[in-house]
Amino acid sequence: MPYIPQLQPFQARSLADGFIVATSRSGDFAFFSPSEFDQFQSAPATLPLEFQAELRARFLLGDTGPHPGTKRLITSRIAAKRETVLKGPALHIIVPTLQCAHSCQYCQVSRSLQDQGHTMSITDIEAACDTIFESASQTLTVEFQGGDPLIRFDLVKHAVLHLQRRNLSEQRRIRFVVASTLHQLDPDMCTFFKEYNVYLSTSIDGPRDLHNRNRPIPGRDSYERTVKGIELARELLGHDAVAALMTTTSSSLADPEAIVDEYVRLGFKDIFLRPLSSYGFAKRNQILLGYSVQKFFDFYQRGLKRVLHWNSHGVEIREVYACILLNKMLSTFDAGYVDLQSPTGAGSSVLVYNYDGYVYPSDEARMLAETGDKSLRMGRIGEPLENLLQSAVARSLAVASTVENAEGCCDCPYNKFCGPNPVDAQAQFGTLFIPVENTEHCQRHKGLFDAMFMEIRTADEDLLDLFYQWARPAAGVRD
Amino acid sequence: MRRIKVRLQAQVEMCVHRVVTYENLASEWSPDLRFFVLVFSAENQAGTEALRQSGLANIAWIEGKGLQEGDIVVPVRDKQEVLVLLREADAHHSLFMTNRCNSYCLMCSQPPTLGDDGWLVGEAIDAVRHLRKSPPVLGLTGGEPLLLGTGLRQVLNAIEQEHPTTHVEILTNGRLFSNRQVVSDILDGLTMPARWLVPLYGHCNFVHDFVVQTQGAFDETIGGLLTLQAHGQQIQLRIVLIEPVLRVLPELAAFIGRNLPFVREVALMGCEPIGFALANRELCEVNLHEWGETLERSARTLRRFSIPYLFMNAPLCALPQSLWSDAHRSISDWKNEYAAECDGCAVKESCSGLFSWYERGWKPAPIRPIKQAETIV
Amino acid sequence: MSKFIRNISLFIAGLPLLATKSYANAPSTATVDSLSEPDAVPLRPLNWESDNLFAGHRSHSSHRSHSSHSSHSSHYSGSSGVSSSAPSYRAPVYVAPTPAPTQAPNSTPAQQTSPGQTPGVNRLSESSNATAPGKPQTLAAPTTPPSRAGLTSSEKLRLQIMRVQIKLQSLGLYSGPIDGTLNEGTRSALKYFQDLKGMPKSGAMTTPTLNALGVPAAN
Repeated sequence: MPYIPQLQPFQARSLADGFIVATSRSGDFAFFSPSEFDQFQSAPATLPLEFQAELRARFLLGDTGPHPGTKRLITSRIAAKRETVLKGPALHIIVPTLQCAHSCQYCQVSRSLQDQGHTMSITDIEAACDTIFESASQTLTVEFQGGDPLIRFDLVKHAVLHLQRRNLSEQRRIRFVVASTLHQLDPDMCTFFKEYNVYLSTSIDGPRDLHNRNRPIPGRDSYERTVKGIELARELLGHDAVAALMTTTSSSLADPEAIVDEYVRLGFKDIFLRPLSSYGFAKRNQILLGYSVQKFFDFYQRGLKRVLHWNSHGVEIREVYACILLNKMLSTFDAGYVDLQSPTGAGSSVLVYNYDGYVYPSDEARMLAETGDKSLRMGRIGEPLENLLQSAVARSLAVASTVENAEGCCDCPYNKFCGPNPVDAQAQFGTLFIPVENTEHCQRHKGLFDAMFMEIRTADEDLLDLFYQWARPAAGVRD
Repeated sequence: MRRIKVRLQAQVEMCVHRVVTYENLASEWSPDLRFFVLVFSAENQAGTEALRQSGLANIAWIEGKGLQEGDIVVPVRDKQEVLVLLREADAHHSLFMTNRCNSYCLMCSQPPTLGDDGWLVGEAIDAVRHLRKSPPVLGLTGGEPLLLGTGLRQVLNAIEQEHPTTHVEILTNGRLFSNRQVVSDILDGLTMPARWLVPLYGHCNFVHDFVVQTQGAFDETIGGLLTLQAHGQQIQLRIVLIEPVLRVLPELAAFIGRNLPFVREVALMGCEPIGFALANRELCEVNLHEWGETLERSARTLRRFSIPYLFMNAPLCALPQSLWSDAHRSISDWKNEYAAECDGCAVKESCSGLFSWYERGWKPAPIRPIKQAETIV
Repeated sequence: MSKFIRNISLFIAGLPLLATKSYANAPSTATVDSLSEPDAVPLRPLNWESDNLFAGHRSHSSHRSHSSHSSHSSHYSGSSGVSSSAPSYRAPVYVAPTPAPTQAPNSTPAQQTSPGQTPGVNRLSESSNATAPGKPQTLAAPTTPPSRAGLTSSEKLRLQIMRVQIKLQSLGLYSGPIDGTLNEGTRSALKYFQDLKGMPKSGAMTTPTLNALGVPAAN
């Protein structure tokens, strides 16, 4: 007898709105009321035909017997989500110096301007650049962080020139980004950046008072000087050459709407409502700066709502965290976000070449080293890429972040979109291997995915249009 | 295909000929083709017969009001008639490959038959050879062209050779690509400009299989689409707007978006009121007005997934105005017409009109002329 | 006519569909092995620049919005019917032609007389639908004519002369055989024509002469 519906592999979860969300192998999802879910599990043939059809279309129901077309389709869907994982490392972060004028309360790393000892040697810079080209990925992002890389603009320049020279024969597509407060930015630097198509990424924590409180410098005018840098960059490099990020402190929690409004005021197209990394120097100030997962969650919801409010009034601004989540949930294609990969992108899709001469698997890992925990060093700069990628650290990270291995991930419907963050776990608990439910990373993402799914279930057509737009992989070319 | 009454020289061959005027015969003549010389006078008729006597075995005179120079025709046996396979002045050109099919769609406008009509392959190749001007697009239809196996590839090769600038469109359900031999016969080494027009009627097997009245068809078609994509071939999905399809259309659009994002476009088509559609009228006859919201929602879904789409065989008055810019003038030249109501319609020039047999069938929606005032947005 | 199952629930219940399989006539050779793991097919549109994706995490440059849909092309409709009246299956009478032999003068040009007498193969049709039972219907391999590009220069010359002869005859200036040779009659006809047109009476196929005749050079 044909067309008898059989349950296909799925995971499911109850949501706060009373519905149940289930995801299939392909990453498609469906919502059920509790009674529908019971029916689905025990007697799917009794569900209304339209619903059965929808569930089949999402590969939650299927047939016994050979169906090679559908099988091939599911295989292809799974592969489409894993493109970033399968390429070579595509994001390379170079930390030329820790020097910085700020003493931000949440920063673990920066050193004073007088401190010469936390700066990368030229040898290491060039070795790092050469290692980058050992990656198999045709598309590369090279990002400079610090400290404040512009304090040692000469080192940034050296690296960019070295990479461009080699790229004449390599012919990869390379994007350059410099993460900086922009206080040191001057027209000469802009000329260089323009010539080599370098993007700028800066920090704006919110309105001026909040920003300056979070990010003190002697003149107490961090905000003003950053805004000046933004204006200079826009004038010489184009409006969209600068993006901004914020860091959420407990001071930020009070007024997410003001932070969003500040970004709109400054004309940014993206805002990333980022939670605070819970380690390093910041741990000392946890009581002052720290907040619970729930508190961040409430903050985030309000902030996202404010962003959506602006969109409904014709202002095109995206919330980046939502873009990442929605890409995972709604798009057939991987957008190349190294966060939330399984196995983790740290040490496989991302590499950090640190001023101290070592290679680390992620930004957070090199910050962890500053607090004394150097266990996540993958190897020395200059070692062959293959060795780094096969190092004990890399392998442990992979094992600790594979959803199939992680108890607590196997039954979670978000395991197609998410994965454990072992670097985070190392920072929080001192070990890579920890039951995921205990980690802030898991708690936060369960909450975020729950919230997003509830939004999607009740979204009107306009909001769905917006969400699908946000979910699309970016074109990634400067206008 | 047009059927034209003619007067023909006696004892002509039952095969493809090109129609040429008496004046142009000299410049077009070639020993490897066959020509019908279009004559309008006794003189030219005699002249043609004389040329034949002088050694040209591949010409014959023909007289017929409906013929045009360049027509590719084949005589009908025992009748003073020819079928026009191709006409230069047409906007759309297509060749009929076979009347056999391995599906049995509820709305099939060309009900399949069992007979072995493999000779149509040779006829198609001959038509391709005789065609003077390379059309921008040439369609291959049926029945199910994949049933021809290597014969289909022979036709494709002939087109590539004789008309290298022509784009071919093959109308197929793709099911036979589940057979390795068929895949290698037809797709291996195929580099000519081609597009495959594949119908998809449901987002899951039982819906699609029901519409094509064949178990297992959906799975085979999905497999066929993936095979085409794996071979770098272009695809247009075709969706005929009958009732069981309209009921699931928004879901089908989302399914396409999620699973088949590689298709070049989706064609949403009004149903031809002919063939099996007349036998399954209660399922096939719809008033598109009643489905306006469904059409809009489905179009929106396709846009959400960046899938290009267009409407075909749908007069503008049957569609919501927001979708008018997505409608195409698409009914084949020899099939389309306008109703009496169309006189004075402000947008007639951009409209596809109706199938000429709507009188025996039905209209896609009550036809009404659009007033100029309505077009000002 | 075979039955349709017009109710989807009945269809799902699996009532036997009459006579659907018999239209297949499909090659029954090996299907794709359904037990082996299928190869994933890349689902990206073929013109999508997958290399456009730069790995991103915290730092992003602005995204460019994607273009909306474009509706274009494919302007021909679902299927072509065989005739503009009620669709009917056309009896197979087509016979692949052999290339027209050019005959020596006075011999009867070869003709295909009764339909169905294809050179060589003579097979009974398998169908029950043929209008004329017993008529062999074969797919004779279509004879491949010399592609025009592949003509030798002497063949091209011959073709040109034949075309000129056709034109001269249709103008009433020549009544000899169309044989592709510049014989006496052809040359004097050419001279006559050139005289009419006020051209030098060379009797040769000069370019101005060909242009005036409206016969393109064969190439």
